[in-house]
Amino acid sequence: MKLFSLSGEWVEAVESGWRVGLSVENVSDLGDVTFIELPLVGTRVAPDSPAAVIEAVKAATDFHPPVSGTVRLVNAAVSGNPGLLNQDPEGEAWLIELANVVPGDLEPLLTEVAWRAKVHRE
Amino acid sequence: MTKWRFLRSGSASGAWNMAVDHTLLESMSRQFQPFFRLYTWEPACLSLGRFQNTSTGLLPGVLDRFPVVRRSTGGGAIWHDRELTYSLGFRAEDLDTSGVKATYERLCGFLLATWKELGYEAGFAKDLGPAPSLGAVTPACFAGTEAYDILVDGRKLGGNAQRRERGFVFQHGSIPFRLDWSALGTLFAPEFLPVPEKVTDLDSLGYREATDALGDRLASNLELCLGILLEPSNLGPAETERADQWAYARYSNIDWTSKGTGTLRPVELPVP
Repeated sequence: MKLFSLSGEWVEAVESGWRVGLSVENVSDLGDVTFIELPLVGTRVAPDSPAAVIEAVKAATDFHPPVSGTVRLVNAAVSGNPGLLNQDPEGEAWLIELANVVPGDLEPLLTEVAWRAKVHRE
Repeated sequence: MTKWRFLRSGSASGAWNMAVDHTLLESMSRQFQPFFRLYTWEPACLSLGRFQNTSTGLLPGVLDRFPVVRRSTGGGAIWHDRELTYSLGFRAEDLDTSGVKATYERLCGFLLATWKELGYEAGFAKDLGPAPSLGAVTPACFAGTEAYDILVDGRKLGGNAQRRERGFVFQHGSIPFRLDWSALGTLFAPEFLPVPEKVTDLDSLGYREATDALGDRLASNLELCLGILLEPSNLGPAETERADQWAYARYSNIDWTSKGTGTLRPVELPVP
């Protein structure tokens, strides 16, 4: 089950760790993605600092993970083919997989239903 | 009414120009005062997009033969010669518009207003006709065509790029008085050159006012479009020193300029 930050980054538990990525809504707003720079494996990341940079045709934006953790995998498929992020941002185009996630970081996150209800209401 | 700093910086090198923008963003992140800056380039300089791969589209040896700087914003390369450049920065929450595309449209409103004031037909490509083909960033910015390009009398005029970081929005853009086609031919491989029929410059549009007059128009329209007040400002001594550091550590650094993809972490400098 995905959990979302208010700003539209998601995290989801998978067998090997926690995958994080960007919502369909956020990616749609960015437009055609042309470049993605992901962090190195082993990097410690946190919500208050950028973990990746996503460049679209008109704007480059930082990606802040919704939770703190250590990068154990990066999605080479999406960095090698940035357009994949436009096609499947909440599926195949996850960005990084984390280990050692701080459990307290999950508490303020919203369920998918609650998050979508909030953003589409606003 | 929100007050923004307004800096008319005049001409400087590419490294200094990028370092000043960087410094103003740093100042804004501490003092929360947005800024609008106008500047020109001396000597003429090629600016590369933040993640641009220099092995594609540029002719061999360009980095050795011409002044080159790498921007903090994305997109393709621009040859800055006879042009006026603007930059602006503010907190995302300061603008009553959210979303990347909506913010971009809102910000570019002052450009459209200026071109319309001069009697030109101006709009975003997406609003002026059949949707242009979208695609990857082209090595030369002005060769690209996409939905949010600003078209004036049917042709692309200048280029604009935005960077969003830690809740702050930075945008800069190039407004060419006259494109130097012979220079472009010495920079870009022929297949990546802009197509003359698809781009324009102010000279071709019949614009004859001086650079300062255009700056006045842009500033006035920015105030109207955003409902802000521009206050004349200059770099303070600490900012000048800081810009000097950025110019040296990053924007004159050949590693920063030449690499296609950089390290994510910026060069760390002590906060003054």
